[in-house]
Amino acid sequence: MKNLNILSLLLLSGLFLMVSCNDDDDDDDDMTPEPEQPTAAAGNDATVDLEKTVTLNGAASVGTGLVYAWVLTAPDGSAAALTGGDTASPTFVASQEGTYVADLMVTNADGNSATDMVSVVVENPTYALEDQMGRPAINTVFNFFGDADTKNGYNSTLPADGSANATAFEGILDALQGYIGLDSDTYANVLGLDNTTTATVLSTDVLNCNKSAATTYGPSDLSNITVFENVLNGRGLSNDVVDVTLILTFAGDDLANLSDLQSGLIGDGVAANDVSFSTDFPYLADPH
Amino acid sequence: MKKKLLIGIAVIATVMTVVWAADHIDAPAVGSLADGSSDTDITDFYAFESPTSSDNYVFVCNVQGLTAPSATGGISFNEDVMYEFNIDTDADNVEDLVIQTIFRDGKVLSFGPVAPSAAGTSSKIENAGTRTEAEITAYQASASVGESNGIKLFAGPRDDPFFMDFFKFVDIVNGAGNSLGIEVPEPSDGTAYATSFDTPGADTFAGTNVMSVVVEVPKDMIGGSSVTSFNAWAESKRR
Repeated sequence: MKNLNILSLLLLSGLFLMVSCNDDDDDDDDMTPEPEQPTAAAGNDATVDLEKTVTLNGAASVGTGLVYAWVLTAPDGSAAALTGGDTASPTFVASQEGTYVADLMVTNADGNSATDMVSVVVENPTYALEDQMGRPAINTVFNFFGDADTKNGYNSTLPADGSANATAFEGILDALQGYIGLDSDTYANVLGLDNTTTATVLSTDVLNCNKSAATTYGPSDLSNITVFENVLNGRGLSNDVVDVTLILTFAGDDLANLSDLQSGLIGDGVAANDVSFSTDFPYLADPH
Repeated sequence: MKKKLLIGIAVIATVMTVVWAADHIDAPAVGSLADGSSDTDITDFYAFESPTSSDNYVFVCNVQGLTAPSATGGISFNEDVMYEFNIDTDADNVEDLVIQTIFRDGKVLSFGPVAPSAAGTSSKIENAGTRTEAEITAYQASASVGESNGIKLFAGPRDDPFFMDFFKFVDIVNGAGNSLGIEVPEPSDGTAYATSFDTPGADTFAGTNVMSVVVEVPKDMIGGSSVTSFNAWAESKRR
């Protein structure tokens, strides 16, 4: 409908121009007012980040009863979609890296037109790593005694490089077990792993996820433990990851024969979140 | 050998500061007790089979931990920060797929799962493939969920799902540090470090909020049906 109107306007203006030309032939008749010449102003060139919504601004265009017609060309040369392309301030999503060119034609009530253009440069910026996290509380627990550089450095360590931390992590396990009188040299946890192996697993800081087994961070069946299947398989919201970590650290491999000291250290006494999770996406509870 | 390790720990620990958990305020560059948790401070990462469909998997990245309810309405997401779920489908702990989330003009956008043009510590926006968007959910508004191609997307303030008696943990581990000659804070009760947790413990994170990004994707988008297990982690990245 809009296009039809514009088409009609263009046809009318063509007729008007022909009439004007005829008028120009008549030297003695200056009674017709001078036709207004509009001015198009497509706004200032801009630079934005990829996926930004850009609002063009043709409001500085001058003329009576202006009709706006924008055409947007994407960096790849294709015509790009504009919202409100017949208004003074249309918008588009800058979904391609490169330079968009917007051509504006304004047409006034007399049917005279003017054009302008504006360029929008779209950048795909580089994002640099600041914090990496796989398993819960690794940096907090295993760099507990570390200095600022150690903690900061850990957050920008990629999982593939994590094994460099295994020796230090083993030192923490040894120290915590030695503190309560356990022999760390012979210690094995409920998964049957010694401290060297546990530290190696944990220092590669990822969640191991099995698509075909139910998610559980802690052992779901102590009598038949399969690592990365029914233990250390993903992490669910309700999984008590702190107790799992404490059990791996302090309980040894015989939960039936714990010392009093061990018994006091394999659970933090907080077994669930303070509010219930939702059964529907996004699952986390509403904020307090 | 063991003694050398312990001495190494003691030497490293010339400065001991109180830190919070899970990984809330875990390093000075992203957050501290004095400065609080920043928009790149990942507090927790979750990856689990969808409770509503065993065909789907859910990824959660929480940041800006320990936010009081009174402060929650005043914080928002940063357009200069990207949260990226990294997925390794061939067991080398290098990402083969990423799900990127960024924030633009009041919306959260997600791209992927898509093979990134480059793996590692630097990322560019990978928007050539699957794109999902949702309005960022405002504090105390009902959750706004975006959907496309079987993917669901949410971003906004949530209850912090993490639970732990963190202060008791700190007191216990400080006791271990003290026994090794590491300079640590005084016992919390002023006399002796704790050597056991309380029953029940006190949830340090009760009543606090985080800013949360949640993405649910069909399992088939994670390497297809031939991939039965994968490794995943979250990264925060700044422009």
